[in-house]
Formats: sequence, C-alpha cells, structure tokens
Amino acid sequence: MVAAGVDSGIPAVGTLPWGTHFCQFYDSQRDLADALVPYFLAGIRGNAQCVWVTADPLRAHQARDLLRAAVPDLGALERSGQLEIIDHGDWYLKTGGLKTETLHRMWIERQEIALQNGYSGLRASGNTSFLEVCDWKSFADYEARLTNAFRGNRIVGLCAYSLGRCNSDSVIDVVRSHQFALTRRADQWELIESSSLKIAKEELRQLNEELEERVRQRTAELEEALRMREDFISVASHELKTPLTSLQLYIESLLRAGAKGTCSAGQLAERLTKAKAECGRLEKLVNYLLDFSRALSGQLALTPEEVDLSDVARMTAERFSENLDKAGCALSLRADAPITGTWDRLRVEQVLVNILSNAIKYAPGAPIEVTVTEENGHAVVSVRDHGPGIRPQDQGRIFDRFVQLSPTEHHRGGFGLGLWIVRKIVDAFRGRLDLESEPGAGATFRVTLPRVPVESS
Amino acid sequence: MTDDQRNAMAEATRRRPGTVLVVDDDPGVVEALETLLVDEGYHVVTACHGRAALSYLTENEAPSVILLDMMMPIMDGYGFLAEQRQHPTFSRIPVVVLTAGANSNRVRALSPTGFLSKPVDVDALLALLEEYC
Repeated sequence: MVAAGVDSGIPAVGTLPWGTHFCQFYDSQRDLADALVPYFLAGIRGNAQCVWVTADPLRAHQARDLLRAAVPDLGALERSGQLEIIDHGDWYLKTGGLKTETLHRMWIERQEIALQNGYSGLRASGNTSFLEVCDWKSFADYEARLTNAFRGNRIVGLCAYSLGRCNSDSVIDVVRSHQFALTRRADQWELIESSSLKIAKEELRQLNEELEERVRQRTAELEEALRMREDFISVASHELKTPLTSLQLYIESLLRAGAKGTCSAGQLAERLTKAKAECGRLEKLVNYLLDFSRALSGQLALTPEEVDLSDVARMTAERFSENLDKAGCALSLRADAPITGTWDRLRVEQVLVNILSNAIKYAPGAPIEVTVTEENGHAVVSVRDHGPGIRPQDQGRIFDRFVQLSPTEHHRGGFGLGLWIVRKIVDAFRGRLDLESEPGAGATFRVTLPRVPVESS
Repeated sequence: MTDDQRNAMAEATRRRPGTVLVVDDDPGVVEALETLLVDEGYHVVTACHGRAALSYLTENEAPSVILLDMMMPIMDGYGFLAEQRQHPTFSRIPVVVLTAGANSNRVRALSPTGFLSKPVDVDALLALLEEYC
C-alpha cells in the first residue's frame, strides 16, 4: 500500500496519492503550460524521475524554455537522467516496438529503475494529439490498463487530451479511463470526477471517519486501562510496603535493643508477636493478589457444599466484630431461618467480608444492617450501610477492578479489588449482585444466589 | 540484668529533647515507629491523618519534627503540607516524608526537609532526627 501523498503542483488538484492516473482537457498551449509546468516542477522538487512526452501545441523545446525560467540549470537535470523531455515522435521511435497491450508494463519497469536510482518515484505526462480516430478504442483500453497498473505503485501520470479533437463519446471514454479529469472553464480549473468515483470517495471518507472514531475510542479505552493498571500497581506496592515497613521497623528495633542489651524477655515476645502479625498481613495481601489473578483468568476455585447462608452471615458478623467495633459500626443481623443452598462456604464468606469491609471503610461510625431472606426460591443476603452513598455515575463502575472512588486524594487502603472479587464470585454462582444507593442516603448491596448446585469449572 | 545492662538501658531511654509527631493512617506502622523511636529516647505523638495532625499542632506545643505519610484518608500528606506551609508557625517545623507510594518525583517537588521511602532506612531516619531534635 502506497499511502503517502505527493504534491501535484497544480493548485486545483492539490496533493495526490501515489498511483494516481488523471487527465487534462486543453484548448490551448497556455492550458497545457499552466498545468504541466507546475506539475513537473513539483515532481523535480519531490525528487521524482520526470518523463514529459510532448506534442503540438507544446513541443519539447518550448517545454524546456518554460521550465528553464524556474530551473536555470535544466541541462544538468536532463543529463543526470532525472528529467526527460521528448517529443512524441521520438518517443514513438523509442518505444515503437511496444504494443499498447504491453505498454503499461514499460511504465512499471521505469518506475522500478527510478526507485533503484534513488528517486522518490516516477512522474509522467503524455499528449495524445497524435492519436488517430482509428486508434481510439485500443488507446482508451490502454488508459484503463494504466489506471489499474499505477495503483499501488509510485507513479503519477497525467494525460493531456485536446478538447478540439474529442467528440462527446471520447470525452466520456477518457473520463472513465482516468481517476479524474482536469479542465479549464472561464479561466478556472475544474475537476471532473465520475459519479462512481465520487460515491467511492464519499464512502471512503465515511469509512475513514468511522475508523478514526473507532481508533479514538479504542485508544481512550486502552489509555484508561493503562492508567488503571498503573494506579493499581502503585496502590498494590503501597499496600505491600506498609506491613513490610512495620515488620522491618520491629526487626530493626529488636536488633538495636539487642545490641544495647536493653530488651526484656517480655518486650522481645511482644515485638515478635507484632512482627508475626505483620507477616500474617503480608500473607493475606499476597493471597488476595493471587485470588485476583485467578479470578481474572476465570479460574476461581469453588468447592460446593451444603451451606446455611444465615449461619455464614452470623459467623462472619462474629468474626468481623472487632473491625466493626473499631470503625464504630453497630451491626444488626436478621437471619432468622436457616436458608440452605449448595455453595462454596469460604467464597460466600468472602463476599460478605468484602461488602462489610467496604461499608466500614466508606461509612465508619454508622450502623450496618445485614438481612438474610428467601425470595422466589433464591437465597438473598443484603447489606445496608448508612454512609455517604454512591453517586449514580459511580454505581456501574464500583464493581470494576482497581476502582477506588477518588483513590489518591482519599486513599482508604486496599487494592480496589474487593467488590470486583464479590462480583466474580457471585457470577461464578450464577447469582445476581444489585446495588441501591442515593448520595447521602447510604447503600444497599443485595446478593441473590440460586440454591441449586453449580458445577465447578 | 547486670548493672552494665541497666546503665545501657537508662542511657538509651534517657529523654532526648525531641518530640516526634508521626502522621500515618496505618496503625501497624505507627506502632512500630513508636516502638523504635521510644527506644531511641524520643517522645512520640501520633495522628492518623493530615487533619488530625493540624488539630494536634493547633492544640499543642510544636514537635521538633514531623514524620509524614503521604497516602492517608480525610487529608493526605499533600493536603497537610499545603496547609502547614501556609501557617506562620507550623511552617517552621521540619517535615520528613516517609512514603510507600511510587510517585517520589511528586513528593520531591515539594522539597520536604527529608524524604525516605518505605520500608525505611532506619540509620538515615535516625540521623535526620538527630539533626532536627
């Protein structure tokens, strides 16, 4: 695919893609000169090899004179081989052995040689005034072949047609066999495009726009994912370094006290106990990360067994009582009747712990209500907090991974994975996770679990 | 315990002139820092976020140095530094930042008196405290 554009040199035409094959209808020598001189000057500037096959009313010597006004050392350019100006008669002698059926190959070969010689491509022009009416059909076919042959190559070709020698049929043939036509009306250059080309161009433009829009969207998504990953790595390293810091400080304090001989047996035991607790914290965090990576690859291990959801809620509330007390959250539990189902007990516990952790993190000092009920044959556990609530625009994304609402300004600890893991576990049980919340009015997380067994994947 | 050990202990726990305000939201880190610094003879006071630290400073005699964590709820280290620097007297207290965060450039740009990454190089920390207490 040759995508880069080249300057046509003709203001009305502007930049062209390589591979363009177009034509010009002219009335006079001035029409020819006004298009072809800037066309070849742009080619020379763009380091293209230029081949100008001339015919009446603008012959080779006249073309040279016109170019020389802009390029004083024209002779050197011609000697170097970058520029070739040749009258069609001489051209015919040079290429006379070639039939129009094979002529297009000669252009491709010349382009290859031009590229080998370090030129940017090939720029050519021919005048058809020598054509006899009897040649017309085969020449139109040749032009159509050129349009196909140029495509994908570093060639730009401009064919000049005398309007005076064209009848209406031939004008249509000419326009058809080129990508577009250039003509001058009332001293203004105009481009004539075939309607199919116009439609194709419009479709292309639309496709391009759609594609660009998709690229923009996808880029934005990727950037967001990348940003979230960076945030996550920064949060994860912070979370891991925190217990590591305590552990290291206890060890340092023990080493120093040991060196001074000032550590009593009681102090030693106390500090070692605390250091051990920090090891436990680190282990939990690492397990959490492992869980995350398993959940990410859809390998969350489930061990289904007969579980009473009310019992799990009671046990979890009990195990969590110290954290609840510390946060100043009073928990009231309504789990009157046993509600059994086939689930993984530890995973159900994890769901409750994560939702409760979230509640005490974001709604400290406010009561929390946990209710276990049966609805339409499903087990439902709901956790209601009385915190600041969750804004509607955040409700969809709080179950995404790494999401911590305003993570940096008000970092509240944790990886930002708690609710994401909740969702993954609930999904694995083919359950439903609902959130009801209004800003200022707390939040209710409802987990609905089918009671039938789920095959472990 | 021998007399030598007793003497050494007395030497180590002799009050230094310095009071260190530890501002960190992690109780584990606060407790461990306190243990180490008390062993070294410092008086340690604590605050669990920037807002609490500002209240402490308003109500108490200025500490010799502040050890500041950056990632905290309610008011983080950046918020605290912004307010502390505006204040006519608080701004004179040296602040040593201790952070486990990755964004060390953002912290350095604030040019705190000292900057140490967690886990902390204890020798460097004690040298800084020695200097400011």
